[in-house]
This record gives sequence, C-alpha cells and structure tokens, in this order.
Amino acid sequence: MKAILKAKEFAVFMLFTVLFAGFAFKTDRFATSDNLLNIANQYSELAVVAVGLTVVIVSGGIDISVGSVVGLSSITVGLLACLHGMNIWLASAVAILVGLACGTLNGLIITKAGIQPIVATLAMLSAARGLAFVLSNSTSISGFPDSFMSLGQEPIGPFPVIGYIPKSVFVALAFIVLGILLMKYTAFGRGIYATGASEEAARLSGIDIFRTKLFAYSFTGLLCGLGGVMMTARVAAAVPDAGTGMEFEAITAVVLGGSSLKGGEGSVIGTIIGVGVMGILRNGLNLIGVPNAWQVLFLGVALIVAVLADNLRNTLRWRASAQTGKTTGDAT
Amino acid sequence: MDDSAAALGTNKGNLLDRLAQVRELPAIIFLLMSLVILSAVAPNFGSSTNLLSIARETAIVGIMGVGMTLVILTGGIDLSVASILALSAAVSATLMMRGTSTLVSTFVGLCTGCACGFANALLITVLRVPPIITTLGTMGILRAAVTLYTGAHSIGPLPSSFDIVGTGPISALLLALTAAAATFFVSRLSVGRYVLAIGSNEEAVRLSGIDVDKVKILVYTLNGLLAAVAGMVVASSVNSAQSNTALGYELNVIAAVVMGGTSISGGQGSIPGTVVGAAIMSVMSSALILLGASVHWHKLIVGGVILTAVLIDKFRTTHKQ
Repeated sequence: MKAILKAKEFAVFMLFTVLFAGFAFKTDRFATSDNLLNIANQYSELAVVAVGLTVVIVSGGIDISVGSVVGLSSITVGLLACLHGMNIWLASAVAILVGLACGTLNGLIITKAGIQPIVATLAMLSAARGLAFVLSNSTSISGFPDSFMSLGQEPIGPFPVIGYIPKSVFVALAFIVLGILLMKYTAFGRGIYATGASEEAARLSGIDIFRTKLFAYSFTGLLCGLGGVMMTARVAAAVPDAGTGMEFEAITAVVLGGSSLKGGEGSVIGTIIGVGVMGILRNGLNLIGVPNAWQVLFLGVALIVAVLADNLRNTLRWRASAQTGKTTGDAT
Repeated sequence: MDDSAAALGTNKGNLLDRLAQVRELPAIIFLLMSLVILSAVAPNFGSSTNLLSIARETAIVGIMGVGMTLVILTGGIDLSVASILALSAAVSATLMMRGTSTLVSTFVGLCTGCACGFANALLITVLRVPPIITTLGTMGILRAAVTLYTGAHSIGPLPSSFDIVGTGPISALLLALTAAAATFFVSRLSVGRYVLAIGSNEEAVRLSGIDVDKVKILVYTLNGLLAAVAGMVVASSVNSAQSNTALGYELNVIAAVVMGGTSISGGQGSIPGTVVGAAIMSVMSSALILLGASVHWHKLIVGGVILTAVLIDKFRTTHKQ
C-alpha cells in the first residue's frame, strides 16, 4: 500500500521534473532564482487552498466554492481595513473567520441536511461571489499599510544558495506542514481517510462521520480565508473577482497529486507537487508567450487527463490485485 | 410526475398531503407570489416590452434547463452548457458574417452544440470521468476555445433574417416545443423511461440488459443541442456573439432545474417544473433591474435559491418516508 502511494507521488514528481527541464531548456528566463521565487510567491495561495481541498477530497467530498470564498475573504479585509479603518491584522483575522464560517456552513449543509457536496458548494460558489460583489459595490479596494503588503511582496533573506524568500511562502509552508501532520500522524487524519474509503465501514468502526466531514469543510474554509488575505497582500488590492476559477486549478492540482475523487486516497505532499506543476506550467507558458486563453485550454485538458490517469491507475491496480489474489489462491 | 401520479392513486385522504407531493408546487406558488408582488411594486413590470424580455430570458434559461433536467434525471450534471452556448453562437455568427446563408449557419451552430455534448458524453461514458469533472474541464476548454476563435472581438451585426429567432414570441414558442418534446420523450418513449430509471438505480438498469452508456450519450448530446438552440436565441437577441456570451449561466440553469422540483440526485423530476423555474429566474433578474438593485444581488440570490430548493426536495423525500 505504502509503495503504491509513493508511486502516485512519484508520477506527479516525474511530470514536475519533465516540465521543469522542458521550460528550463526552452527559455533561459525560467530557471532563475528570481523567477522561481516569484512562482512560489504567486502560488503560495493556491497551495494553502489546495491543502484544504485535499482533506475534503480524501474524505470523499468536493468543494467548488473555494475560489469564491477567497474572493469574499479578500473583500472583507479591504472593506474593514481600508474603508472602516480597522487594524489590518484584526481585519485579516476577521476575513479568515469569514472563510471559516463559509466552510462550516458548507459542512453543516452537507452533513446535517444531507445535501450532496457538489450542490451545496455550487450554491456557496454563487452566493459568496455575489456577496463579494455586493459588499464591494463591484469595485476594487486598495490603500493597505506597507506592513501588510510586505507579507506578499517583501522577501526575507538572504538564505544560503536560495537567496531571498517571500514571507507568504513561509506562511504557506507552515500550513502545508500542518496539513501533512494532520493527515498522517493524527487519529483525525486517519478518520478522514477511513471516511473517504468507506463511510459505512468508518461509521461502524466508531468514527464520528459528522465531526470528521464538518471539520474537513471548515478547515478548507479557514484556509480559503487565509488564501484570500495572502492574495490581497500580494496584489495590494481587494478585488471582488479575486480567486475566480481557483477551484479549477485547485482540483486539478489535488487530482494530479494522486488524490482519488472517490475519496480515501491522496496526500498533501502529492497535492503540493501538483500545485508546483500548475505553477511552472502557467509561468513557463507565459514566458514562452502562450496567450492566456490557450493556457486555460491546457488546464482544462490537464484536469481531465489527471482524472483519466487516476482511472487508469485504479484499473491497473485492480488487475494487479486480482492477479495476486489468484496466485495466492493457487499457493494455498 | 411519477410520484404525483402515485400519490393520487394511493393517498386519497388528505388533500394537503397530496398537494405536498406535487413537485412543481413550491415553484408555482413562488412564481405567482412574485408576479403579484412585482406588478404592484415595480412600476413598469407589466409593460409589454418588459414581459417580452422576460419571455425571452425564460426561453433561454428554460431551453437549456430542459436539457439539463434530462442530464440531472440520469444522476449527472453539466457545467459546460454556457460555454457550449457561446461556442455555437460564435460559430454560427462567424459563418453568417462570411456570407453563409442564415439557415446553414444556424444548422452548423446546432451541430457544434451536438458535437460538444457528444464529446462530454464520451468522456463520461467511455472514459469514466465523473460528469462534474468532465464538464468542469470542458467548461474551461470550450470557453477558451470561444475566446481564441472570436479573438475576443464581438461578431456582428448579424443579418436581419436571423432577427426573428430572438424575439419574445418566437423564443417562447421554441421553449414550448422543446418542453413538449422532452415531456413526450420522458413519459412516452421507452428510452425516456430509461433516463428516469438510470437516475434511480443505474446498476439495476444495467443488469436488466439496457445499454446505459447509449442512453447517457443521447442525453448529453441532446443537452449540447439545446444549449446551442439557446445560443441562437441569445445571438439573435443581442445581434452578435462574443467570447463572454452567457458567462456563468450554468448556475441559473441549474437553479431553474432544482427549483422546478427535479431532484439533484436523479431519477425524479419534472420538465414543466423546470420551465416554471426558468420563469422565476428571469422574473427575479428583471425585478432587480426594475427596482434599481445591483445586478450582483442576482448571484447571491441564485445561491440561496439553489440551496432552498434542494433543502425542500430533501424535506419532501424524508417526509414521504
């Protein structure tokens, strides 16, 4: 089992390496430390959001409202800090709580009312985006204090070899580590894998399904809130359509990283490599001058191919296990 | 449809209980209420221009909604309809601008819609990619294709012979025909019955020897075709096609379907209900404009409406048990 999980992450890592080498070969502006740190900075938000989404997808659910919640969180920081003069860090905390509230609401609707995740979060996708536009009057808000903007813009350093590292990358790293610890080394994490693999079996073995699922969606909401704050700091403005289409990139990253949409399988590390693939793909395509519409097209294809690869892997494994089943049967 | 008939047959006692089992009822009540309130509150609501524009909007959402109802009845979903709409509209508009006859251009546009729906269907059935992921992917791919195809320019003005498609009465007629044909399909044809059966229990249908994949391919292709029909109405009414035509409409369509009483888990639903749902959606957006509210409230309300509708459906199914 462990070997298979390893192999899953190995596949996405190979893809990452091939793309990296390809772009480095194609343009000499790609593999510079400046450019790579720039990618890390830009994709730290997606990484944070994708960590949450991994937890949801492993638990057997899905959340397509992540992009909208990021947008709502961004507008919350902007409104409170720039228009109402609230302390910026307090405003950020409120925005993260708004994200948490959205996630918890998703979780409650899914667990308590028994609505399918896709529909519940589709409703949230529409409602949160609408709220972001209504609250902001469809305009972007700026005028943040420098201390806040430095979160997304000013690097710390210099470190040996790597040089300067943006602060947001540290924030992302902290939550990636938290996600890994949570999923791998806690009973709760194992409960999430068990719920995704077989809800009935998990229930019968005494796992609190309600709490497990609710936690998964709340955690994702919280991370979306954080992602919104990070994005606001990086672009120095709160925009109502911030994070539009992020669900697309996040789901692709998670599935590329080896999580199965059927639940019960996947890892945060795989997801992060998946985010890395998205990051270098976007950046590399930009550098070699591929227009945005083509990039969106590539991403759509990548999403479907990632799921196809997952299907193929499942079929192969099923065949392999059928085979070994047969051989052990012969032996006994 | 099926369970309202069942309710009439078995439970003759309580009228209220029987009414509660009519799927379309909450939507009809809501529509009537909003019509009464709006004609009292909003000054120009009853004007013929406004009513005609509501009729057209209802037709656009409703025609797509009928296709979406079929898809949802099989237990699937299609997020790519708005992108299919935009692509078919752009293809037809480009051909018209090149001087191809209106009829041929429209036909090619409709074929484009079918082809997109068919591509979705192949991914879902042959390659076993879940509907939500397939159509999330094709939503992005097709929208990008429209942007590349149109070069982000508006294609128009379209020839005057095409104007008639997007007028209020003709688009309403298109909706009526579509809804009638789909109702006939679901309730009278055996393949239509399979659509309902697949949504209730796909495995049982497969085991009774029916080619489930074929039925699904038919349904997703029809859905593509209907999105293209709606695309013709949109293109004709705004007299052009753009890369952002109908952006985000998939949510309105899904909201209309679930509001009409179709269960999102498949197997149960109503095509007339979807038409009522589409009418509610267009009345609401018209009301927001007339009352001078920000159009962005629309998204917020759509989210609330989807949620309320699925909660009502959930309540109904648990209540019945």
